[in-house]
Amino acid sequence: MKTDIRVKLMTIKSSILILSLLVLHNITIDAQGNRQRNRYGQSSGSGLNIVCSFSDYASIAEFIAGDMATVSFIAQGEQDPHFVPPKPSYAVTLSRADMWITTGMDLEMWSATLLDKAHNRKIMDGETGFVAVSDGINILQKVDKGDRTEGDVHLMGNPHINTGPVNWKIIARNITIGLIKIDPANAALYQKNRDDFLDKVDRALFGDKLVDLFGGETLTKMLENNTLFTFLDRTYEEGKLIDLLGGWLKKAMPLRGKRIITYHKNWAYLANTLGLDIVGYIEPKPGIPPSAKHVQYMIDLINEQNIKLMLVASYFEKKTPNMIEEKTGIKALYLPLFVHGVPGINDNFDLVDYWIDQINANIQ
Amino acid sequence: MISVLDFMIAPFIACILLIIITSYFGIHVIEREIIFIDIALAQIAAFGSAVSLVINKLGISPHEDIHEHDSRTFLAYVFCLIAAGLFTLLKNKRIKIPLEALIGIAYAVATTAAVIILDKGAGSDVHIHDMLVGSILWVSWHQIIRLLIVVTVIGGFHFIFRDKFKGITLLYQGKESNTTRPKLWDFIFYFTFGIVIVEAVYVGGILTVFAFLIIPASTSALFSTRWSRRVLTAILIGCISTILGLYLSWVMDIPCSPAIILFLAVSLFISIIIKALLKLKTH
Amino acid sequence: MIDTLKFLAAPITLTILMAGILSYFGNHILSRGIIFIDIAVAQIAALGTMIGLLLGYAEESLNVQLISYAFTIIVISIFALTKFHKQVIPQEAIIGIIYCIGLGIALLLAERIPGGSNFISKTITGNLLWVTWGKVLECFVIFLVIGIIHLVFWKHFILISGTRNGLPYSLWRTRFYELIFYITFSIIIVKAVPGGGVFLIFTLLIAPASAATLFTDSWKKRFIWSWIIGTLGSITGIYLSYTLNISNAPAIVTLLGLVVFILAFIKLTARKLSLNNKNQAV
Repeated sequence: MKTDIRVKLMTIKSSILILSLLVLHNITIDAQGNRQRNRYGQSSGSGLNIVCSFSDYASIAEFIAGDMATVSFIAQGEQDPHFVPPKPSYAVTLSRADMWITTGMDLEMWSATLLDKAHNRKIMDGETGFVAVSDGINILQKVDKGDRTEGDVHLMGNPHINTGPVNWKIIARNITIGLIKIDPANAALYQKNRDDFLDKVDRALFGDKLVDLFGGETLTKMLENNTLFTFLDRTYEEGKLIDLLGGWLKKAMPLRGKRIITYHKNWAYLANTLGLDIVGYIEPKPGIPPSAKHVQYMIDLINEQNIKLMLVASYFEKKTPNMIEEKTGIKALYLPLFVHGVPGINDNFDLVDYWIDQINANIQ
Repeated sequence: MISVLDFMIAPFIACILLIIITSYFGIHVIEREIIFIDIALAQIAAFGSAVSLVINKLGISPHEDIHEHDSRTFLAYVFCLIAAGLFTLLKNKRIKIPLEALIGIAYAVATTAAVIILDKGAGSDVHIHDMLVGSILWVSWHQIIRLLIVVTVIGGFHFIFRDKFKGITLLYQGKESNTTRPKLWDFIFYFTFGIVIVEAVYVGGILTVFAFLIIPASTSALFSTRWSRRVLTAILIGCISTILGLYLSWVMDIPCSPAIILFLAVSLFISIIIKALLKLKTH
Repeated sequence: MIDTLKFLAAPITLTILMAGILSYFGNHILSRGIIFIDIAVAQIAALGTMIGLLLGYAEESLNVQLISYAFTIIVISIFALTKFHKQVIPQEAIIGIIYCIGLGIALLLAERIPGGSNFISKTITGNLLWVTWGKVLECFVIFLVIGIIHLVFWKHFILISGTRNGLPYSLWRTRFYELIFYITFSIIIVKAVPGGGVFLIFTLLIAPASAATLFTDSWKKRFIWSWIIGTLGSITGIYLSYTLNISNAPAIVTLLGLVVFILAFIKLTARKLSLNNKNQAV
């Protein structure tokens, strides 16, 4: 009797499930459209296959590689960069990749498993197809060897390098080196595209006039050494050099020296470039809620220094920032951390425009 | 270019191995009503790994890259051993707290204590996330062989001594049993179970293992009370759901763990309906 | 010092309120053996929130909160109706299945929502420390209302919780009481978890009640003792979080958890000792 039931059970179950499978198969034609979301450029098929961890790097890579490659990225623009759940398409993408572009610090911990199991020799760490874009970047908040008392999360320093336009130039250089290694035939094209990109960044940062006068390299060096604004104070023709300033730095002038706090350490490089003074973090360590001492410290800090603005990356839940707003009167500004984090932001330049506009609109 | 079959054959075999061992243990777990024990043991093992991570980091320079974190560290098994001992000791008439409550508290403490230790000692919470979803789609043959060994050894052991273990489960339900030295066998049960969990969770993730443990065993309870029948039914349900789940995950590009769970749930509902229909028939 | 106390006043008040209502429910939960129900409810509520977000409403808006409550109540009502004369599948297993499926769906939906990973049970954190007096008042009112409902049905709930096999009333009458019990329970959980985080709520539910159960059988005594233990544990935890600079909720959870285990061991060894003494005396 019982075996009879079991057999009946299995047949009925199997038939229902197979039916649903057929239905789902039709729905899956839609799913193909889903995969297009991660792609840039043309699916030429014959070009190079470049896979990046983040959309920001993909945007830069597309600029440099142009028609020579299909560029895709894994972490969605509005996703938490620390946590990316694995999907079958990632394995497929990685197995066919000619190049893997990643930060190269300890941010994309989730990628280690993906890479190990993609069994793609070309893109393993140390091979020509592996590009760590943080090579050569001036890393902020590095931890000294002996100092572990604060228990800094990212031992190699702050890995959120994509928020600093100055860093894009080094990222672009690293990507170009990688491209030339795997495709030396087109070296000239990549170098030209890279130079165009570097020029575009300079002009976006400083404005055309200053770039034409002094050249992007010099200006960038001064910005990094914090000597730029002293330099711009010099007289020039009827006014001062600073009158010639354009681009983002000009737009962000009202922000220079303003004090803000941020929810997590995502914004260090942006603040460095724009001159914002970040005086504290609510949750410096991802996933670890702050202690009572820290919370009290932050509340006191906000009150004493009259901090009015808190930057929060849009992948964070709004619940706690809302509570902080209620408790302290501060305003929480939610910003996407990456390209495509908000519809309409299609490359890094759009992203910074958006950031500066939003911060300007919300700061007191 | 990977074809579906190439891609799916290793995950499929890994799932089959998991299903074989979890179908058996799942029935024990449900009969003893310690449903969440696998999540608790996985977390306790993770705590052990967190401890070993911190101990390691205190010795190594901060610039050393720790690429892949293997949660199957020695300390993970040690903590499983400790947990097994704890649960065995505390399953006592004098202690009127249900074992599941102690398991729950151990789970909460293991999770939060790991946060505190990592916060103070090292500072990274990635492992917690990794373990939830698992990476069954990327399982390597190396891991499958390791899993096969564990399943064979522990599975074989439990098969040989199945009556002893069944006896203790009867004690849990308040019934009589003639298992001698119940405490010893109880301890062996938890410890072997812990080892299985650590290995299984490393491959499949906590959620998949939990689902394999609970859902097929529950579904089989609807149709039979005999162990052999239940194990076979559970394995069958698990296999069908896995095949369909893997296929769905491939075709819709979704993580495979939820896809498999979806089909396990569907088979449960279908079974409930069938059982209800059968009841109506006999009336 | 005064500043610290002022700062901690609201969180501590909320803790006392939560410890009270949760230890009440906790004793029931313990008797019924459905320990993990609050983790399951928290996950279902999170899933409800995700559905609300997917439908296009803004995060933290009233619509999303209502959808979350509604979804949770629907699911938990289904659960309440799974009580039978003879449980072929134990209720805890049903909770496990609900949790499992809920988590699975949440994982599937997570990537379609910005910050979707925030709604997966492990990551449901919260921080009492930011709570304002307004929120404390809100919670007080809700807890009071539910407390009154439970005062009315007091006897019935205790009878059902105390019955191990079979049902004390007819099937549908039992299910009616179960519905009230679980719906009120879910409302408390959905209200409390975003504030305190899933692990803190879970621990406040189970640990003080477990500790109390070790030493007394009377329901009234258990309620009082678990409330006291819960409150003391939380306050000590907050104090430790402050002085040792560790995360708040983990401190409380670890403390209360360890207390339960230590008490259990004391109980175990104390009886052994007194038994040995008795044997020696004879």
